Amino acid sequence: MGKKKRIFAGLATVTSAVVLLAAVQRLLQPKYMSDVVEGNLIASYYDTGKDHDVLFIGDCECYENFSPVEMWRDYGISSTIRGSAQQLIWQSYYLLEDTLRYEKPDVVVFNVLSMKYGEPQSEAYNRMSIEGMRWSKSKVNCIKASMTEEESFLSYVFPILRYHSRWSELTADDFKYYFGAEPNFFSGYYLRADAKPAENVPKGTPLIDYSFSENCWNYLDKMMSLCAENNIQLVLIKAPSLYPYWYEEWDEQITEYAEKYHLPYINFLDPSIQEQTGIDYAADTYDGGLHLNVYGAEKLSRWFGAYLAERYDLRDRSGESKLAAEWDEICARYDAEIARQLKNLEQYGNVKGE
Amino acid sequence: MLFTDSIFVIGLILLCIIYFLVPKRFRWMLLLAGSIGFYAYSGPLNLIYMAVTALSTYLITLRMEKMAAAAKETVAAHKSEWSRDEKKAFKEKAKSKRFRWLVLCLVLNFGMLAVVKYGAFTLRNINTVIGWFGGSKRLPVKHFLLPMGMSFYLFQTMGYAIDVYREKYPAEKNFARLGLFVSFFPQLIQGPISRYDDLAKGLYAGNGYDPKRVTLGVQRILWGYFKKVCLADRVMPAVTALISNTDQHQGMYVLMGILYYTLRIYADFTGGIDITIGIGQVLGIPITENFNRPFFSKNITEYWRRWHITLGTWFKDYLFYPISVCQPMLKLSKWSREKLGKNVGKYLPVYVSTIAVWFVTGLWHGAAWNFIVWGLMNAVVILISERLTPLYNKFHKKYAWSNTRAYDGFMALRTTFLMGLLRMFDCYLDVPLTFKMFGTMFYKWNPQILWDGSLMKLGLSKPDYLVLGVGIVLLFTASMLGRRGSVRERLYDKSKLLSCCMTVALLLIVVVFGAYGIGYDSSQFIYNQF
Amino acid sequence: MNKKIVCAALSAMLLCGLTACGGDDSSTAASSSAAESSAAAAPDASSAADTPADSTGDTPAESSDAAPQGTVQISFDYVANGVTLEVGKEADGVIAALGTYDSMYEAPSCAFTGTSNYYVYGGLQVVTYPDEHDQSLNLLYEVDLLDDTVATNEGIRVGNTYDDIVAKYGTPDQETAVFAMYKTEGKAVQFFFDKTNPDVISEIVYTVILV
Repeated sequence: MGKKKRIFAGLATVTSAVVLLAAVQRLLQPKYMSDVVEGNLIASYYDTGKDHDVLFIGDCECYENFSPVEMWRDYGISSTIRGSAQQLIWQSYYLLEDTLRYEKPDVVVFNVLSMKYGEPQSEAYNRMSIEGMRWSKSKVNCIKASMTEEESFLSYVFPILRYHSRWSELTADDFKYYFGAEPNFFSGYYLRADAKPAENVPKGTPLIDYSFSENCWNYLDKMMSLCAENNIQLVLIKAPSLYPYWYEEWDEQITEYAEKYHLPYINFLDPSIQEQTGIDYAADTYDGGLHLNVYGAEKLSRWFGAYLAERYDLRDRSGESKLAAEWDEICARYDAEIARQLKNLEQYGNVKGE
Repeated sequence: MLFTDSIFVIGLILLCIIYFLVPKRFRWMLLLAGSIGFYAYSGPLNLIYMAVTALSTYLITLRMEKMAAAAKETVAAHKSEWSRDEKKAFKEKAKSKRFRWLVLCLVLNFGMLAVVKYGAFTLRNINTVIGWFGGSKRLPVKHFLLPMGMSFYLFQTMGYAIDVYREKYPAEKNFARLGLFVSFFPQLIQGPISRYDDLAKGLYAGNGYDPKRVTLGVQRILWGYFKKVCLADRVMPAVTALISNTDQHQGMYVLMGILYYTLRIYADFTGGIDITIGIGQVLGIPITENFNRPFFSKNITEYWRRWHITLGTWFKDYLFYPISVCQPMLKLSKWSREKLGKNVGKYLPVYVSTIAVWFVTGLWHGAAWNFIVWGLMNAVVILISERLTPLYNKFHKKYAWSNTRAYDGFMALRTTFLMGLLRMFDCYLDVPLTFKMFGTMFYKWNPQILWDGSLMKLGLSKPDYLVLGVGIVLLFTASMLGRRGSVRERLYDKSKLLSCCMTVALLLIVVVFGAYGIGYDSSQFIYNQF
Repeated sequence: MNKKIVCAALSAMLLCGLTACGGDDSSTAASSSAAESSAAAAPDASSAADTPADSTGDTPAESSDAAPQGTVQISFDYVANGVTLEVGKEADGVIAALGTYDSMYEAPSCAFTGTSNYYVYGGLQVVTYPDEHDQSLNLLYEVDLLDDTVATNEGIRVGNTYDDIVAKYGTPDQETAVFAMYKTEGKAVQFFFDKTNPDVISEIVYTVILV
C-alpha cells in the first residue's frame, strides 16, 4: 500500500467512525416533543427572528407567566423569553450573554426567584437549560458554572456520553423528530389553556437563613453591568406565582438592592399590583398557583406591556411589515394551540388529549 | 487514575499521535515524559516512592555489575596460579558480596512497600495479640495511601535487580531509560509484571508506524474497553448489592454472587490487560501476555499457569525456586528424609515452599486476612490435587468417556467454579462471613429467586441482563475462535475493509452499551489496589 | 408513560423536595448553613449525641432542672396519633394511617412527574417529596407544628420559650436569635421564634437534612 493510500484509508476510517457516532448520538438524544417539552425551550430561540425590544430571562415563572403574543397584539412590542425549567441565575446570565451575540433588546426583564439557589442543583435541569444553547464562550462558562459534582464537561461536548444508555428506551419520537423538533413555543412562551384554582397554598416553612448567596449576588451584579455596558434597561420582577413561597425576607433583600442601584423592581405578588393586573387565582392558573394559564399570562402581559411601553418608550412596531409577518406566524400558531387545547379539554378532560 | 477516566483516554490518544510525529530517537523520551506525567496525575508524592525505587535499583545494579566484572578480571588475572577450588571459592565469595548489595536493594524497596501497604495491617494484628495477653497499651496505627500500581512496578523492578545479580543480562547504564522501564504507564494500572529482557527492546527502539500493528492494537484496546465497561462495570451493581446486604442475600444468591463476581473480575482484569497490551501494540512495544483463556483450564494448577501469568512466574522464579534450593530448606529436606521417612521427606520441602509462596501471593493481593486465607486455600487445593494425581491418571485410563471433549468441558467448568468459590474470600473481604455465606448455600434453599424476579432487584434491569448475556456469548465465541490464532490478525489479513469495520463497530458498541457516566459508579479496577 | 421514560433517561435527579421551580428551601438553607456551622457546632453536637446514650443507663432524672442535658432522649421522629412520622422515609403508608386531612396542596415539579404534597391536620402539616430515583415514590420531607394544639413528643409546643426547650432538650446543636436546632444523622428538629417576640416559639419543624 502506498503512503497516500494508507493515509486515505486511515482518514476514511476515522471519518466514518465520527459520522456514525454523530448519527447515533442524534438518535439517542432526548427529543423533548411529546413529553418534557420544556427541554426544547432554549434551542427554540435560534429558529425565530432576532429583533426583540424586550427579553425575559428566568425560570418557569417567566416562560409560563408572560405571553409575548399578547404584548405584540396589544402594544406592538416584540419580545421573547429565554427561560427553562429551574433556570439558575448564572444560566440566565450566560443566556443573556448568548442572546446579545444576536441582538440588542431595549429592556431585559429578570425574574428573581432563582436567587434562592446559590449552587448547582440538578443534572436533569442543567441538561435542559444548557444543551439547547449554541456553542460559544458563554455556553462553556455556563456549563462550568452549572455542573453538579457527578457531571463532566466532556459529556456536554459529546452528549452521547450522557445519553448512551437510552438505547433501550427509544420511542417513535426519537425517529420521528430525528432531524429536528417542531415549534412548540410562542417566542419562548409555554402555553397552557386549562385551569386549576389555587387553594390551600401552604405558607413557607421558616428558614434558618434567608440571605441569598454571594454567588447569586455576583451574577446579579454581572447582569446589571452587562446591561449597562450595552445600554439596556434591566427590570427585576417577581412573578405572581404563589408557590414556591416568596419570603418577605427575600423580598426585602431584592428591594434594597434595586434601590441601591436604581433598578425598577416589581413584585407581582404585591396586593396593590395584583389589584391592577387582575389575576384571579381561581381561574388564571393551571396548577393551583405555581404557574399562570394563558388567560392569566395575557392579563399579566397586558399590564406589563403597558408599563414597559410607557416607562421605556417602546414604540408600537406593528406597522413594520417584516416583523409583523414573523409575528403573524407566531400568532396563528398561538391561536391554533389554544383551540387545540380547548378541544382536548372538552373531549378528554386534559389539554394533552390523552 | 483508571483506564476509563476521560483524562486517560484523551491523554492516550494525544500521546499516540505525538509518538509517531517525533523523530524515532526521541520516542522513548516521550514515553518517559508521558509516564511521569501520568503517574504524577495519580498523586505527585507517589513519584517520590517511584524515584527511590528507580534510583536505588539503578545504583545497586550498576555496583553489582561492576563487582561482577572486577571479580571476573581477578579470576582471569590469576588464571594460571589458582586451582579450580581456589577459583570457585573466590567466585563464591564475590557472589556473596554482591548478594549483600542485592539484599540491601530488596530490603529497601520491599521495606517501603511493607510500611506503606502492610504497616497498618501489621500494627493492628500486633495490637490484637497484645489484647490477647491482657495488655491495655495499643500501638498507634498509621494509614498510608498506597501509591497506585506500587506492587506492580516494584515487583517488576526487583525482578530486574535479581536478574542483574544473577548476571542474566547487563544492567541498564542510562538512568532515564531504566526510569522508563520502571514507570511505563500502561502497566501501572493493573500490570502485567514484565521482565526487563522482554520489554526493554520495544521500549527504547522508537518504533515506526505500521498500519496493521496499529489497527490490531486499537482493536485490542477497544476489546479491553468492551470487557471493562460493557461487562465488568455493568455487573458491578449486582455484586455490590449482594455483598452489602448479606442478611438477605443468602443461599442461591451466594451462588449467583459467585457467578457475577467471576464475570466481574475476569472482564475487569483481562479487559485491563487487553488495554495495556493493545497500547503496547500500537506503540510497537510487545508486552507479555498475562492470561491464556484461564477458564478453559482443566485443573487449578493449570489455571494458575493461565491466570495472572506474570505474577505466577515471578513468584516461581524469584521465590519458589530460591526457597526450594536455599540452605535451610536443603537441611530440612535432609533432616525429614532421615527422620520422617522417604515419602514425607520428599514432599515436605515442596509443601513448605508452596505454602510459603501462596501465603505471600495472598498477602500480595492485599493487607488483610481474607487474602491470606484465600492464598492458603489455593495452596491446599493445589497440594491435594497434586497428591491425587496418580488417582486421576488411573481414572482417566480406566474410563474412556473421561477423555472426551465433553468431559474436558466439565473439568473446565469445575475449575472455574472452584476458583469462583475461593474468590469469595476477596469478594466478601471477611473470613468468618465468607464461611457463613458458603454455609448458607447448603441450608438455605431458595432457588425460586432465579425466576421470581428477585434477580431484577439487584440493580440490574432487563437491558443490563441483555447486554451481559450477549457480551458473554461474544466473549466465549472470541475465546473459542482465538484458539486457532489471533482473530484480529486473521480478519485483517483476509480483508482490511472488514477489519476497519470491526474497529468502528467495537467503538460504537463500547460507547453505546458501556456502563459509564451518570447512573453508573466508575468502579475501581479491582487489581488497581495492589 | 412516555414522560416516565424520558425522566428515566435523564435519570431525573430532581432536587429532593422540591419541585423544580423551587419548592421549599429549607433543604438548601439547612444543608448549607449546617456545613458552615458544623465546625463551630461540632463539640456541642458530639456532646448532645453522647449524653442521651450515657444517661439512659445509670443516671435517671435525679436532677430536675439544674442539669438539663441528657434528661430527655431527643426524638427526631414525630409521633402523631400513634403514627410515627420518620422524615426521609416512605410517606404513603403514614399518610394513609393519619386518616382524613383538613386540606391538601399538590405542587408539581417543573417539566417532570412527581409532586410535593402538603397535608394539613389541624395544627399539624406534613410535607412529602418525590424520591429522586423513583418519582412515584413519596418520601416524608417535613413535619410542621403550626400552632399550640400540637406538641412535640417531649411536650414542647408553639408558645413555649427558649428556656423550655433547653430544659427538655439541652443545649441546641445550632442556634441564632431566630431559631434553635437539634440534629442527628440526616434529620433535625428546628424551633423557630416569633419575629416580634423572639423568646417565644412560633413554629416547630421536623425535617430532613439534605447534604
